[in-house]
Amino acid sequence: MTHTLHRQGTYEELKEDFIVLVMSAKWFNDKGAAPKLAEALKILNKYSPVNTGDMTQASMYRAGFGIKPVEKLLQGCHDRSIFHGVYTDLETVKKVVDELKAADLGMSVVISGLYNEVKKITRPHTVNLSIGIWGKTELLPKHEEVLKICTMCGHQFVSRHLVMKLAQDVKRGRITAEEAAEVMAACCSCGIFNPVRAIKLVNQLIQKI
Amino acid sequence: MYINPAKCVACTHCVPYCPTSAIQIVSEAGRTFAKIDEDKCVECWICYRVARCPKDAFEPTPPEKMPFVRRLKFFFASATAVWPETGMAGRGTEEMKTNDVTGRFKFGEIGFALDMGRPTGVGVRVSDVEKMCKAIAPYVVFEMENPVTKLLIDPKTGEVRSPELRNVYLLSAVVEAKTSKELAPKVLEIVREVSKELNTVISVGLVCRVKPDGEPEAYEVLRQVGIEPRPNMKINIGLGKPFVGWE
Repeated sequence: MTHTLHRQGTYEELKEDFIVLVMSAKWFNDKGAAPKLAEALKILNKYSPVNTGDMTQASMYRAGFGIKPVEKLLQGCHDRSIFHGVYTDLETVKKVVDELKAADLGMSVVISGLYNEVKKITRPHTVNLSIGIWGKTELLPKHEEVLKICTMCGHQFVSRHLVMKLAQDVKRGRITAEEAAEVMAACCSCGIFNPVRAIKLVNQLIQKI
Repeated sequence: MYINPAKCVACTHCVPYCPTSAIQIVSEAGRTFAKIDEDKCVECWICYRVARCPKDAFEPTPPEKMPFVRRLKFFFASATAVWPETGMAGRGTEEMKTNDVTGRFKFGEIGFALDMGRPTGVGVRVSDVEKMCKAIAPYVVFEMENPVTKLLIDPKTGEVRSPELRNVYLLSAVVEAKTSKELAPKVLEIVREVSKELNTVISVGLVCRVKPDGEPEAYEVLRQVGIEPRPNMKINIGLGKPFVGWE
């Protein structure tokens, strides 16, 4: 379940892309975890994430939410909820982590992002590191922006064809880059897609197509 | 997934949403409509859930009523569905995300997370997953809670349970295993060689503990085989309880 690991981008681009994940551990501390996870979601939400969601429910962008997304997620929170918050700067991540530490919820917290940056704000315990994409890489999209956008949803729900179609719509003036990013974010079911970064990448992509 | 041809007006709105290009516009018996290529369809339901057909032509089969192969595709594509066998949402396990509590990965151990078929909807056939599993099986211990491991007849051999599985096309499959730090370079070399023979891509990840000086233990392995890690990682920061400890 390495859905946040293989995000592509330069070091500078990835400085604007951090995900904080909170979850319980099956058989260890999941019984009665729901209130702690709900508290964690409130903390994630307090610092205005650009996306949020529960892997077992949906993201804030997923179509069909009739009420405020976080309230909906809180209503559906359960012992095995896996909450995410996406942030665009390390300073905010530090505030989130400091508050999660102070709350002492006992839930596992994982930050997905630049190791050398995250190390500055907290001590790492275990890591999952990426060593790249191997195999028949000629099957990957030819535009690096498409790869960068698509890997922001590790479950591959943001189609490369949709990215190209939306970029063409932006180029033709039918929609804005912001609207394109919202459609892409709605494809990502667990709320780890970074729409702010996507807007920048769409604007770069339209210069090439 | 099924598109009702009587409702579809071939507007093509849904076509780009499909990560694996499984939706085609066809003409049959004087009508033009969108049709699902059942082989390429991985049952991710993005077309149904997100594209939102203006004619309501998409008619998914509930997973409990799906034939076995379609159900397999569905669970290997869904991020939210909870596997009946593992109790986990998604395609893998908790792996290192709860390692501060479970202690699943210890110092001296290297975990492998081979995301086969990722990224960008390349997808993977089970036959390719089996090739990889068979190649690394002598040197690793597969994660027993992982959905791929559940497909194997014997984790010691890496062989899949049934020949009919081999041709099944999945959105992705995460092979999860671990080995000793000493054997890890050999496993990496095997993965690198096997990946050249496959008709797919693999997003390769390693899991390890972080030494007191802040260096991930896997760096020693990567130096031996001459591979640079990417700068971004998933980082468990040790807030879970009961805590297994830093050392």
